Amino acid sequence: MSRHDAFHSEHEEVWELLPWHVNGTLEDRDARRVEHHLSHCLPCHAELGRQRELASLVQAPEVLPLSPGHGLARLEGRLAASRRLTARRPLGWGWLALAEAAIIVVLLSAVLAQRQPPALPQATFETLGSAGPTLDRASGPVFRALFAESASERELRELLAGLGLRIVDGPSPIGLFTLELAAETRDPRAPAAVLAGLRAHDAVRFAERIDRPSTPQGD
Amino acid sequence: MTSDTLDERTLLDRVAGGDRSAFEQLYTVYYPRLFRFLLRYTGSLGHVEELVNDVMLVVWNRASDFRGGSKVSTWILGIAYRKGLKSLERDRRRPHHEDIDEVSLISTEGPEQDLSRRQLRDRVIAALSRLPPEQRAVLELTYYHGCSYPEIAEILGCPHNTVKTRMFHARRKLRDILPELERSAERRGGLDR
Repeated sequence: MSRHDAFHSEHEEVWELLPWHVNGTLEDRDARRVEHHLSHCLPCHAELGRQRELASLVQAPEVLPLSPGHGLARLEGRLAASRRLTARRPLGWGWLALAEAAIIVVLLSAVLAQRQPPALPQATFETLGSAGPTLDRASGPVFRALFAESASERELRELLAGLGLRIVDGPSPIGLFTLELAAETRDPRAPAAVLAGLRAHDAVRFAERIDRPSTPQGD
Repeated sequence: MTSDTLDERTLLDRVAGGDRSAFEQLYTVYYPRLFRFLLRYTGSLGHVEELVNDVMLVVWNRASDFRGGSKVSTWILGIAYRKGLKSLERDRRRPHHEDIDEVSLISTEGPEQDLSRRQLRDRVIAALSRLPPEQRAVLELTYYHGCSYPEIAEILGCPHNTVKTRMFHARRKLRDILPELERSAERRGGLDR
């Protein structure tokens, strides 16, 4: 390799390492190599200045809507529930999800089998996602949820309050609750976030947003 | 990023033993870091707090799995990266994905030399939001969280060279988007530091 090629090879390697030279995390050997190259490469020296400036702008304090107390309060119920669930589950998470899904299907089948006579008209069948007449009573976005039997009333109350939801109907014969998002929540992102919040909670076995004829569905 | 403080490792050990008080301390320490990382990585404010809680729930449940092969922060940021990635994948499948419109902060009006530092910073944030999430994550982990490139490779679960390549592309794009960055560096004596 000529001296010219060697310089360019070193230049490319050092150029790539500059951000970590700026944040001071390079190993000694790399740091020495970068320092040596910087002493005779003007483009790398200029780039070092730009990267230092970028780092200082990225690190500058900013105002974020941080509320660890609120976040922790919302997590409380999930912590207790998850440790309880974890403690009685030697099979691991994959099996857990399958087992829970199976339990829900079995429970729903059993309840439906008990409650639905063979001649029940199709129109009165209740499915997990059916809207139902309660939509008329709600003015905000509406969801349906099925909660774990092990969930305590307090846990559910905290969950719903944390997400800004109120119960407008339920439980249905198969245990479904209809929930309405507080009307004062005008943020268009809120319904999607609420649905994600419901689905992520250990006490929630099923959740979905219900379509309204006049409003688009968020998810 | 410095090596783990004794406190963080001790806190995590206590969390593994089911100590709620230790978890609350760890949560309070990590909440702002995770909030910031997930906001910058996913580019969406709507789910951030829920994602932070998803991450900390894993920490609560899996603290006993931590063997000390890396820093506590690397382990937790790795969990955050995977949660953020899943969230991005879910959002991509949605028909109407709504992002924070940080791009709208970019203004092309006014002489660049009049830009205040605050304005320049807003422009940097806006420019970052235009990068692909993976490049944003590398830049954020480097300059805000102070991670080395091997630590970032561990957090992202990719080779060292991939980290360098993503950073390389991010720098090139930012240079195109932010020509004033160079002038600002010159004004602040960046070349002489």
